[in-house]
Amino acid sequence: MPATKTERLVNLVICLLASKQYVTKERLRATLEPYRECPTDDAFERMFERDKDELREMGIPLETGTNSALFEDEIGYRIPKDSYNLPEIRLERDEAAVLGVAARFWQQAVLAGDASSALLKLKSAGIEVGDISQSGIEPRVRTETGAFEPLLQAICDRRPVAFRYRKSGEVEPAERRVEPWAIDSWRGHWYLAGHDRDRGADRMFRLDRIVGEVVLLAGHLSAPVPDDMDVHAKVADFAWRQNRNVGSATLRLRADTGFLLRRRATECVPEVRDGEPTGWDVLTVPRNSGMAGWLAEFGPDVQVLEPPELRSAVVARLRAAMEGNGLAASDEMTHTGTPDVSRAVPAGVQVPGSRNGSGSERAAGSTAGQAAGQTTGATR
Amino acid sequence: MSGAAAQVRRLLNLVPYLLEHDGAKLTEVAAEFNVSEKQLRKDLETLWMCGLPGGLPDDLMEAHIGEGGTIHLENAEAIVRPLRFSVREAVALLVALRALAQLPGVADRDALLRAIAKLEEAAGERGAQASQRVTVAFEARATVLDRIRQALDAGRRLRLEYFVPSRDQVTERDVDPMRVILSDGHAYLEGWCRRSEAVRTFRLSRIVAIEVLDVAAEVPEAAEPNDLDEGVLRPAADDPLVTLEVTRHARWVAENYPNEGVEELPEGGLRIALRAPDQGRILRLVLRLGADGRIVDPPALADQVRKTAAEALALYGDEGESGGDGDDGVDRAARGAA
Repeated sequence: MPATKTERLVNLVICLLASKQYVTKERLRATLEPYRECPTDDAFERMFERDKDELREMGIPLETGTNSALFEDEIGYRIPKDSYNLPEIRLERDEAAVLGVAARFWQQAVLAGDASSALLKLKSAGIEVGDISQSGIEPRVRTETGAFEPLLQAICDRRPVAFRYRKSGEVEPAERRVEPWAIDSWRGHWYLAGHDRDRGADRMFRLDRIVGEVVLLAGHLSAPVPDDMDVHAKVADFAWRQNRNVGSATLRLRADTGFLLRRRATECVPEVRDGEPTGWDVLTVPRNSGMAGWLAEFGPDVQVLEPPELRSAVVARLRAAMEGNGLAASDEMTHTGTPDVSRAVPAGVQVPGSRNGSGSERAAGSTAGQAAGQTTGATR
Repeated sequence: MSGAAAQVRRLLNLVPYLLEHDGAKLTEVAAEFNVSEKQLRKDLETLWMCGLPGGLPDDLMEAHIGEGGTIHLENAEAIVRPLRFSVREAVALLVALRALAQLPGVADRDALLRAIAKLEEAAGERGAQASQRVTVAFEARATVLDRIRQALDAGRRLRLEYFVPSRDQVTERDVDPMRVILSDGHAYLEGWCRRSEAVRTFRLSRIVAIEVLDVAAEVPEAAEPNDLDEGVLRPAADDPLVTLEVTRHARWVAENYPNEGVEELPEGGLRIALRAPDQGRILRLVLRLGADGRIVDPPALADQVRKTAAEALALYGDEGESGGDGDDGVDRAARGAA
């Protein structure tokens, strides 16, 4: 009966909290009714061992020791008040007023329960926890990935972990054994920083690239967690490290387009041919290593002039996009903007130029709108 | 945790709570502890069986329910303080407060920092240390956030120049601010957009210019704040569905775009279903992907990609028609991890 067990555990806590001295097992058996009623010593031992484990799992500081040096074998138990009690916290009114935000912050995340129980403890300690929502800020964080919970546990307990991890661009995930240091959310993604045991080096991981379960390994960390590590800076550095500026690029840009390019441009002059403006501008922009993909996004609004390797990289992307898309659709469909499902290629027919042979698969019945697209809901 | 363990934790907290809030109502306390009123009554009955050993009448707690459902707890001096924070509780509190405090120009920053310092001390060494190991950063520019705060505090209308990437346009709009949302690593302004006469969400990093107008904000009573449970930029269920296939080099698409389902393909590729309110965004994405992605459905959008790419290639003349295998492999690596 859970009720009985609850009473027993609460009474055990109260009994051990109330005593300044260590209480021996024999005394507990004589004092607490459920223990007294155990039919045998064995039954009592089993029950008491389980109870101790449960209290410790709840984070209750149950200590073992002896009262006297003369009777060292007389092991007893106690819960010291100063270890058990939430310490005195004196918060000013404005300090208490901001605390409520913590509960809403984790609302969609695995720490939701911990945030509310922490706030409840503060309220039980007489603190008037306020809610910052009155000042109009609504913070949220999400921990959708299943790896967050075990990694958090590993970090709290300082335990090594093992998981399978798929690096960007790799087909098969590989086994990794890692001593986790910290987890960081940056631009909406969770990252893990730690020491990779097999590679003998510090590594960063994205939690959403972990495949399957994170297993907590036995044993301890082989080295202390670096104290001064600024994980956030590491993550930012990691995510952008290969995106350094590498010289500059010269582009033609159609007038009134490419707002973000213009913002970054170090130079922007209207293009003139035979004394007439052409409706294009010529820009010089700092070039970074990931730029070809970005420039391809602008489609017919951008033409790369220099350098040649960037120019051919953009051309290659555009050609691939042209060849890989829309072969099965007729010109007429493009003009009317109404997808005509009946014209879709029957399943199983290999479409020339399509890859993986899957170009023939079309979800029947789709009546998606035209590409110009209307915005619904949030503005993006 | 067993049902009994959860109840023990609750009771150990309920006792000091009731001592601190003598006369609190059943309904309030049940809501505070996130249990039903029926469960709370059971908890209170259990307390009658708890107390100091000895069997004297005064040793056990007495949880009385008075008129109007007010609770009065007596003989409960055995547990006057709540149990100290667990490591996880310390992490939950401190990480949330620090995430807010690191925002430039957040209101009450000073109070946040003072509260953090005091809670760190109360959390003990292990809790405080573990909490340093989890960080959440939101990106927001101080000046923009500051103006929004001014407008919210004074109840004023804002004029924004707002960049819409999918249309590659900067638009001007007047917005009556409702709140600031921090989510998915970004800060957003939610407000009543006068132009579209609807509630709209604006990412702060896309606000090009912002001005507090000398006009009172008028948020209509019918304006409903967005439900944040599914994230800020949540596609509507009736947005058109787009199916993409990407190679293993573009798996990041599934990581970066909220999607309706992902299917594994051979060689590490993925088939991704997206709901896209604005297909211009998808068009741009597919142009960026080049050989690493293609639209499977709808055919009209695939055609649009083809046509747009062809127009762009025409700019390059002969060069756009043949050969040339420019590969900026670093573009892929830039998104890689570990």
